[in-house]
Amino acid sequence: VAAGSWGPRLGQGATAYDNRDNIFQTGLVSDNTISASGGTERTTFFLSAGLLDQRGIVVGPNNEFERYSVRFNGGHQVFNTLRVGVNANYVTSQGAFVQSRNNVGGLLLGAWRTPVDFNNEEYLSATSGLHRSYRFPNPAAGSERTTRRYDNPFFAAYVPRATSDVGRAFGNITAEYIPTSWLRVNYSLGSDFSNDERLESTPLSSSTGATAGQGQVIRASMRNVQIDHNLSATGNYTLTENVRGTVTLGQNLNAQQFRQQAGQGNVLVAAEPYNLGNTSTQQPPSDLRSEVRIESYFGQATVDLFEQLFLTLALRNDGFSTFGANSRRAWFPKGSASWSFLREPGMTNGMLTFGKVRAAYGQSGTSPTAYQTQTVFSSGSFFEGGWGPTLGTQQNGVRGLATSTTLGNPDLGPERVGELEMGFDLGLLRDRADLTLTHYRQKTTDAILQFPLQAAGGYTTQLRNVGELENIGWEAALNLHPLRGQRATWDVGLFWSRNRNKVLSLQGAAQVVLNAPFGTGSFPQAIVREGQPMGIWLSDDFIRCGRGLTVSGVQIDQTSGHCQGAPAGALYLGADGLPLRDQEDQYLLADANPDWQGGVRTNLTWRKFTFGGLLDMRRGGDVWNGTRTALNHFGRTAESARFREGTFTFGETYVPDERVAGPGVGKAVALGEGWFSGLGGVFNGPASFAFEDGSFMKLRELSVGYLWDTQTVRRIGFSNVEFRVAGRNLYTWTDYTGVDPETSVQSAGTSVIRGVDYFNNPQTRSFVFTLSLNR
Amino acid sequence: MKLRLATVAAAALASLTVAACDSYLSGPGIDQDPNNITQLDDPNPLYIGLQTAQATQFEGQLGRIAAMYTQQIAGVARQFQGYDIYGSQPTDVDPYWQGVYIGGGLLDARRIQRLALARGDSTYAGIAKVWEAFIVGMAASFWGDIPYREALQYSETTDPTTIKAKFDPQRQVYADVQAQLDTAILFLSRTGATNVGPSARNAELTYAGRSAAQLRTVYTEVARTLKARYYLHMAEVDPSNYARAAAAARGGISTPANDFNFFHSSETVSNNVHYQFYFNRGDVLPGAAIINLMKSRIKSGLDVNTDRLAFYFYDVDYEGRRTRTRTSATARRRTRTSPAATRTRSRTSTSSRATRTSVSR
Repeated sequence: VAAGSWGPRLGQGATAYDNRDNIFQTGLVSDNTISASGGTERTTFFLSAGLLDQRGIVVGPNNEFERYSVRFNGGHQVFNTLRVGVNANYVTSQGAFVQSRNNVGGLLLGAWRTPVDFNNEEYLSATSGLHRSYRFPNPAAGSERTTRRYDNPFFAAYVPRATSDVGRAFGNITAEYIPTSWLRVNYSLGSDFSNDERLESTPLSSSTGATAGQGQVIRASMRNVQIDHNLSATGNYTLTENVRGTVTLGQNLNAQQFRQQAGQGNVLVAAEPYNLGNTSTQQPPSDLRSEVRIESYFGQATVDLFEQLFLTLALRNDGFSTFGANSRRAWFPKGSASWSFLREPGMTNGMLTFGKVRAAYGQSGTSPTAYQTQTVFSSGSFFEGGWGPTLGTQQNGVRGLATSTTLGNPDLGPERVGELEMGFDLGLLRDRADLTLTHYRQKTTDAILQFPLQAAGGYTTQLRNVGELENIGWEAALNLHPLRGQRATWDVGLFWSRNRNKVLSLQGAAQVVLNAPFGTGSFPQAIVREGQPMGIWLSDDFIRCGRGLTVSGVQIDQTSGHCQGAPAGALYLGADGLPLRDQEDQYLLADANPDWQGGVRTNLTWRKFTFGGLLDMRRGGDVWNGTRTALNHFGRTAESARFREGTFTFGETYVPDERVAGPGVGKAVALGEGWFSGLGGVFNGPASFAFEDGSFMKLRELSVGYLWDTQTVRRIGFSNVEFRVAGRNLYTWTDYTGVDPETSVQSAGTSVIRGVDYFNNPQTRSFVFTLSLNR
Repeated sequence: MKLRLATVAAAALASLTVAACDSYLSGPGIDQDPNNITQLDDPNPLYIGLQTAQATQFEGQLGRIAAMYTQQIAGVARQFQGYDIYGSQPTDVDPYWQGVYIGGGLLDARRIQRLALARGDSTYAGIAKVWEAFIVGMAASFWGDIPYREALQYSETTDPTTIKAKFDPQRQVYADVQAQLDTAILFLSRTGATNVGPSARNAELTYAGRSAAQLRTVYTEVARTLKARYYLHMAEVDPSNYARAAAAARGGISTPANDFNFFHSSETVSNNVHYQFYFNRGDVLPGAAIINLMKSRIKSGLDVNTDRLAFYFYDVDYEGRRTRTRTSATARRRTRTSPAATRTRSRTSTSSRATRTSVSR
């Protein structure tokens, strides 16, 4: 019997537990701010303080967030020619978090894989007091250091501690000096400092971590410092009454420093505390710092002709410390023109009250991450292909090294984006409507990608300036103002956008893997391939017609009784009535990029009331619903229950939307556990089977507000009081079968991958009550 | 006052502009990596890395799949149910193919040889050559034709996209491996003050604690055993290889104490890779075929007691069921990556480091 077996059918009257929802509760967020401002003619100030307190949607004490913030802005006119300002902020926050997503110690992986007759709420055994989960239901005394395979989600919510304690101070000082009427000199010096102290702990008996069952503690401290210096001088000129403009010259220096120190201890001595001192073995500490410096000079000239035609020309020279020594500095030009053709009074008429056409072209550069120009020796651990086993480079008490798999690139330069943007803005129907339309064509050259190398050369990747990409898009917005009265106003806004993305060239590479969220195999990879949108999904598939495939020596496309006459893409059914997995090739079958996005926004004020609403829409954008196919594998879904017993026919009683061909057409087959834990499930079936259309329409927000400013309010010392109630994410219309098509997963590192649904925590619906007391 | 401020501002602008220049963008920690070693003339750290990386390679997925195909173990959960019925995808072996060549594999085996020879250390170079032959011979056995003579041509100063290593015929690779082993034996025959090998810095993990002279002896034996193994791999295409194998084996590993075993300690990040997989992921169980075979041998009196069954499958009862999910015993963490080990094991292969993180799924 397989470890993941569905087991026998539950008897009549068996108790069913709500393992899908019982780990969630109604969260509560309170956000209070107070602010004051004032000053004299020469001196002004603004002061505010805030407190945000959040109790999350997961049960237990480890799902909380608290943030305090204070802010001060001040300005002083020192002389008539000199004004100085200061802006200072301090924010401190403390949060506790529950592990989530693709994680055997996380919340939903264990929760949703639990069979319905196992009560997760009883997460500690009544007899031994130890952690029980469905794969380890009866923990005997002495099993406190045994992995549970999956953690009980209640254990995951109550027992481990994962915290973040952030302090952040940021602000700047500014000076504006106007020595003569035509010249202005601006200076600003800003800094942003933050420190994040983190704890991540894996308790005894937890299933996750390098030492599953034995516990683990990770302590990390991360510090970010950014210093920004900006100096610019702007001169105004007036050649004639109708020809004037500005000339600006400036310099910008920027430094971003990052520092991380982290320690990991394995094998807890006692169950608590979660402290490195309570661990038996410690990994060599991680000690990382990086600094990225940017040095730019820029100049810009503007011309204003007849107050109708505005021209801007700019040129900047940027230097990045992350580029190779030979390509350290680069030039980026920019230019724009706009013509307000209805600026002259008298030219307006009822239909058209305002008109502007605009066009702009600009180039900008993107820098790679630090230190990619050198090949290094790595002291990182050796992972066994992604299956979990790991050997540290410290063995027998001595530390080892291995040449990094990434070949340094001393010629690395900027990724350059050139964008041409054109459009117009119109005021229509005596300003009862305005319309904006923008078209852009963006071309990226020298795109920085992890270029795959032939492993036989000694390295697997190199960060290179390869690739040309193109983004072509349209954006349109129409705002209507049907009511513009004293007592009532009503606005309706419609917006729509679409973007088409295409990879034009990859310098000969077949493809570059952008993201493989769960490694390879039965899981899809987001790739870059010539002629395709960036990040299109590459996945395994079943044998299908029209691909020139051969099955057991039969060229199926040319053979009658197989695919001959069948439409391309038809699912090929073998003689046993079941599809076959294509073990040779992978296909581009899904794309997370939407066809278009749009929405409707409306706002109505009537006397003291305001009503608002926002509806969001997305058309297209495929989502890989691995949650569904994983739960099918474990037999936890209505789908797996329905096809558990009996026989079904592909293309008819099972997956009726699939067109089918081949010798097995019309043959009834048993599905059940064999199918869902095999080709029909997430682990051993092709990834293509889990793609779904992610189109949706979402009622994003509805709100109602009331402004109370009667005599009574003034008598108690306020000028007015505002009440507002809003509901967010109220309803979603979609054919998507998962929790929410708007989902994404965080991969290793920081990149967020759209359209991957794998036990992600759901989006929340919220109701917001606001009370503002204004004096 | 007005004039003075203007002068100060101008002076500030001028000084910042001058101070900036290119020195702002370069220097240690700015355009030079402050976190990693970029220069190395000591082969010892690389040798530790090489042995460890090859332990993940030889004890990992390729071995598991081979063991499933020969029914020594059975895949019973998640992806391993698929592998158990011969499901495989082109990308499944990518990390292990890469592990043959990248850092921790052939690349570092060669670098160790270069660094060692620069120090006049033939012992070290000879040992690294034995490892090179071990890695490459396994790859030829597993994949057939592989790049070897044109391998490892990338460098920072050449454009890697213009370089493509040719795949060499399997027979040629085996012949080259035999030649490498002959050179290794020659290197290991040299004595002298500079031939210190890895023992001085405790970098030898397989034969930890042995002196340079002892390592020369034992690695010469390993080289001969490897020669015998690789002659046997080619024996069916050229039967004269049987005699060569027999001749080489006579000078091969002479005593069980000299077995080429990677030593795993009980420290968690040193545990045997198969052990880690078995106890932490647990998607495989002992295969029925081998248990039945062993039981039949006990029954028919070929094996006198059940010790071997218990040794192979220590938490599995006589029927092949798992009796305990985990014990703290460390006894069986010493695994064989030995050339003298079974055929399945000898055919296993490499590891990936890169940015791969462990995956729950």
